[in-house]
Amino acid sequence: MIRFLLSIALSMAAIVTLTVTIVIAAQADKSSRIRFEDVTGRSGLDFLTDSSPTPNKNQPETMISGIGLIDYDNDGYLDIFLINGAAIPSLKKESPKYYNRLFHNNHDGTFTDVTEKAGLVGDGYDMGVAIGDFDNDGWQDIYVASVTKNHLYRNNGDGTFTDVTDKAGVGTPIYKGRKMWSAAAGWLDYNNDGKLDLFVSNYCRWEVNKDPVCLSGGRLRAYCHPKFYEPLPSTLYRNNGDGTFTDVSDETGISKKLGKGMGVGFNDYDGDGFIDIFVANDNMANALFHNLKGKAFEEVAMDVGVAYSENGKAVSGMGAEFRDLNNDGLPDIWHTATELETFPLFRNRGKGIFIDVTGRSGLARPTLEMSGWSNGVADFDNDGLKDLFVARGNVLDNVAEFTNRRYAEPNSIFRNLGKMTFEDVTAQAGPDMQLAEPYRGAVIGDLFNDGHMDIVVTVLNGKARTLRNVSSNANNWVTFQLKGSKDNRMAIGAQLKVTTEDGASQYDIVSTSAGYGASRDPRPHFGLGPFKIVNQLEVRWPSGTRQVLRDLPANQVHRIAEP
Amino acid sequence: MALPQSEASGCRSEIRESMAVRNQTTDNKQAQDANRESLEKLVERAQAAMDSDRVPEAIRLYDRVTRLRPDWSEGWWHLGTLLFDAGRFREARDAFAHFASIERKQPGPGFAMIGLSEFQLKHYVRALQALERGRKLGLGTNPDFVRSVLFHDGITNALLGKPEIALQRLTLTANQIAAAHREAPEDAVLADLKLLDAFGIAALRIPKLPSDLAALQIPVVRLAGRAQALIALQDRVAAETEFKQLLALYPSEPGVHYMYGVFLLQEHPRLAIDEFRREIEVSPSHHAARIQLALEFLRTAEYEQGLKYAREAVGLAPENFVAHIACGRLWLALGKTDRALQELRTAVKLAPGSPDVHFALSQALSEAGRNGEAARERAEFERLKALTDTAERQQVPDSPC
Repeated sequence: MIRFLLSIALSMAAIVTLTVTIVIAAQADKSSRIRFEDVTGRSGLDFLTDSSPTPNKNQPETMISGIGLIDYDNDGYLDIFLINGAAIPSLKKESPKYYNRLFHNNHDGTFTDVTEKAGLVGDGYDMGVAIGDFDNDGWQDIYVASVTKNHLYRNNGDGTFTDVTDKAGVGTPIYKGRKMWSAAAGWLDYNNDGKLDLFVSNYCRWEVNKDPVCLSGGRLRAYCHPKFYEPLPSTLYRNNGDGTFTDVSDETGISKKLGKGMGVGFNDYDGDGFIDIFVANDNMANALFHNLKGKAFEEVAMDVGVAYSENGKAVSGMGAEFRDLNNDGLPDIWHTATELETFPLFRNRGKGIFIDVTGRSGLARPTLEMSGWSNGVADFDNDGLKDLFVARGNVLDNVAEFTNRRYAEPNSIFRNLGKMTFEDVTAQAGPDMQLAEPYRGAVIGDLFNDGHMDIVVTVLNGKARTLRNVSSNANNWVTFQLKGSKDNRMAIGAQLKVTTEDGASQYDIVSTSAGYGASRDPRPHFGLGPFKIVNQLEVRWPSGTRQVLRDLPANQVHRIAEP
Repeated sequence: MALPQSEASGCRSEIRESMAVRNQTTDNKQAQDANRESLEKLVERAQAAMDSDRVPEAIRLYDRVTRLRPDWSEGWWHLGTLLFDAGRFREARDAFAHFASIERKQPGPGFAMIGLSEFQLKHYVRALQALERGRKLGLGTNPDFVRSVLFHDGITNALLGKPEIALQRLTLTANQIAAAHREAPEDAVLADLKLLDAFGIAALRIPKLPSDLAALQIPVVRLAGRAQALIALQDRVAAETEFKQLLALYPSEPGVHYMYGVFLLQEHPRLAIDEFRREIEVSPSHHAARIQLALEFLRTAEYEQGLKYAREAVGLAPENFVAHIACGRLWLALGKTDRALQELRTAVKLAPGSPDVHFALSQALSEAGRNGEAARERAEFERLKALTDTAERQQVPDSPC
């Protein structure tokens, strides 16, 4: 990886990247705006998140988020797996209204509920999801992070899944003798051994109906501030390759850092060839675990400048994205927070240092009033610059009773204008983008394989929505589906560099982990603007293998096998 | 401003109970003491005198007991509270000082009582030091005592020109009252006129004690206090109503627009900016309004505008470290790293114990590529932040209510 990045730095390509980026943006078709259309009604995606809200204001009630995009039947189309809550106080899925749901993509814009046949109804109070092929059999598997027991479902390849949690040993991350509340999870190959390992982000110590009594407006019981709960460590499971995992949180140093972990992002921020881990913490300093050559991790968030917002305060870290946003080959970090905090954006300046550019990016002002949950990064208008999406909604369901805020908020889209600046374009993104709801989950992927990145969102105690990207312009795109052989089958951790004929490059990583409790389209997607050919695709596989492909036509999904 | 009898007595009994078990052990160790019997009798007589409110006699007896047993902290506590209730504040302070010097388990209330005694003696700087120390060490669980200490801490901070800290302490006071009156918390808080006046003074940034207010000032201060009390109780809708009335009645009163601006910052920052500007029209030398404007423009990336106000604030209040932080961060955002470093180093000199200044300086040093110095500032930030966090955890429980 060092050589890979050095080659970029020394080849002058990086020097001209910024300039050319501007050219791309200028040449890209801007005749139409980013637009989304809610196609839920005709899609058959009938899902309601039920958090069992109670007068006791149990903390998990306001936090269910998970959505996973998974091609579980290998038909080339993304299916949708949605996470759900359970009854309170039993924390069990006492009726079908609490089931997690798997919806099969019928390729015609409709989806069919196949949950029960698949064996994925679940049994507890669930939070987040992570998709990854842990056994490298070519069938994507599902991990569910939960307040109760976490679950690993092995994909049998016939439309059914088997719960292999107990055999795998990944169901009950323990701290001080009790199973931790897991909020999110993600798959990565931290030691580059070709097997996917599992990182679990744990939130706080909590027991049902034992939350402190927090009164707002001097009289109304409300969900308590996170400061009233004890923090927890994250958990890292190493894949043993035989269907079992070993909890290596202690031996790798992951468990040393306590936090209130929510969103998780993976990328290699310092280009050393090993994947690092970012965790957005809720009202505690964020964590960035620097991977020490696959042996251990050191927590460096403070040292590299991503622990706090630019005024030195911990914010309500929620969803996290860890991808290159300014096409300089260095992954940046963007995470969401709640109102009056802004959504921090950290630009990777290289040499292991991040600079908080929230204000300079134009994100501070529009996000100041927003409460963000899951988020995502994708080039929605295929202009060669990755845009931002956030699912929004206030934490407190009764916030309107003692403030001028509203519980329901519209989601937001920020268009990338280049030079690490963004513009809120939500108002122009169509009437369906204006609908305010208490959104929580969000995931991005190309549901229709049309080169436009779509979004699925969940609504707390409301219906999930499918937002189809209907931005129409003449811009081109390309998507890659990677298949590892020496490396893990999904090629998670592979780094891609796409170069067009003008010499400009874009970068992305194969990673399903994104947002808060979400698992996104694993296929890297690039907008190409006016260019109909990818002059060069360079893939750096996790094993270190470098692969270069040339003259790939635009507007299709390319399947790339590891050499 | 004497501490009500019931509050002192409440604290007195609480401390007594907490020490009972420990003192039994101490007594056992002294079983061989030849004077034990006479001393015990003396203690019994002192206790009886105190319980039946024969204050002069109780003071005399506890004075004798503490001379005979100078390491008996409970005796010093009782002596101090009796002297305090008798209005003998200088002697009370000395008794509490002795208590605080020998009490290992629970010295916080002793320091708090030193602070309350100094307050009565009008030694406000010393009062605040002792009240803060007591608060950090822990005040115990007697709600009346905790409330009284927080209230005096708040009004002393306001008097000494620290209205932001005053508002924090008074908010805790209001929360304590609300927690004690679950059936009608707002009514209970709004019925406490002393607290309302204290809130109003702090919110309007008037460096006075409530007892020093002129009669003409009381209506505006009290109305401002009602609004601020409602903010403390997180009833922003009701607070907004109070603000409407306040602005209608007192549009030209110094501090009113600033206070409303601070309120609006949370939900309507653009309107807050208008209010801060109005405040500057009413009070041309209002540096706090300029700092708020600078920070708000920093937050919204309107750096040039922000810098204008930050520089004005630095000119008006060169000793205010927040003004220098704002100025430094704005210079940094504008790419003027050298100017930023200059301002932030000044801020560090003015407030070396503030984690925020070290964080801001570390950001500027990092931007300047001075990674070694940046790392040192980060380390100092983390050290100070850990201290601050620990102090916050040790102080009065931050009631979730």
